[in-house]
Amino acid sequence: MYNLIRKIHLYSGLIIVIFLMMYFVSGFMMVHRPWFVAAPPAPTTQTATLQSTGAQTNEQLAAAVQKQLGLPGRIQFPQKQPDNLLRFWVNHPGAMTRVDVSTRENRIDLSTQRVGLVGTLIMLHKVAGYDSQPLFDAYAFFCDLAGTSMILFPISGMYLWWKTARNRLWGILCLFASCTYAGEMMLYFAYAR
Amino acid sequence: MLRKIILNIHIYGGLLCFSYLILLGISTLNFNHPFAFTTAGTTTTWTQPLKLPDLARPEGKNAQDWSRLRTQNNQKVLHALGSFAFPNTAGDGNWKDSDTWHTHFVRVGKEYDIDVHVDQGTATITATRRSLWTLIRELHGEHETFPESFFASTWAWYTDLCACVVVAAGISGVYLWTHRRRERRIGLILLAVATAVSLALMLVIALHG
Repeated sequence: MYNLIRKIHLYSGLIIVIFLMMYFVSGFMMVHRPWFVAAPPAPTTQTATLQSTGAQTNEQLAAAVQKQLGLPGRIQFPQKQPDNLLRFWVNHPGAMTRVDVSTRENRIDLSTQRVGLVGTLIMLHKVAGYDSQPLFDAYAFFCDLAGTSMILFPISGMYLWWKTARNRLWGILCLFASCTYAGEMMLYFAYAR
Repeated sequence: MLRKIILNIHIYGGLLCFSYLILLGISTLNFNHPFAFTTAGTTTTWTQPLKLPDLARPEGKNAQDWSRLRTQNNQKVLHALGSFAFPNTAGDGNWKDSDTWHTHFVRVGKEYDIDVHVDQGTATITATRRSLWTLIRELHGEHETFPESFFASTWAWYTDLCACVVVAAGISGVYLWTHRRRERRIGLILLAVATAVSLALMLVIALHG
């Protein structure tokens, strides 16, 4: 049993270490954004003629425009649409493109904001969920692996420590501090004013 | 000696961040699979005495002054309620009518919609307590400083600590594995293939989306 768990801990660690590093480094950059993110460059703008016609839902029209322009990434709609326009974003780690479609004027306005290395890492951190794009699905699968490993590592690590430690006092104290603190914090956020 | 120090950092750092990693793992999976049952919350509404007769009004104030006074009004309400939440946006908080100050506060785990009835000295409060899943999701990387709660603010330190510990644990884990002769070959193959696939995937997504 011990050997099996040790091997799971070791091999799964070697498999997912790069993704975990990326998540924690980019997460650290995200919460300390001012330390890492410089002023972004000015966005580049572009105009195109809308080719897709006929009655379509916003989702269908956005997908057709994305295909027409060959924009890579995932479509996101804002919570509120501007008047007389369809607005959406096509985002992928590295760039965010705002697309304004005027069906009345058959016109598409694009504004692309490049985000630099740190911005790319932060956007990589935020990619989540499965959709019909195989590339993003593969990424989401790694995200699942990373999430599972974050549960697996501490549990298997705790087992390995318990089986090998000669003096368990410090480990018990660390574990107790961690669980008590997180438990108290959750109760506090759930029940305090 | 060095190996022992590194092993201790790996073990005890990991144990110190045990609960954070579990929460992070659950929330990561939940971000990837946002099932409907994980978003529910419970909402309760009540009215309680709340005397705030000196809330500022916008008449005769310019936009800048009114923005400052709006913040002060919100702070008075928060103090009176004993809450460590904060306004959702800078524009939260306004006079609904001549007697009612309406505002909206949020924090991890909770959301408040508040009507302060100044003349009556009462407040009607609608509080939404998020589900356990949402709470765990909101704690994922939470890094807010809560001026009204030192305890809640310490979560940001724990987040920083755990980020550093996990990066150290990853590096030290690889270092410790290199000292195990028997597992070097299979480990090297796994590490090389996984690194190549991971980096390639990140690069392709970043370059071609």
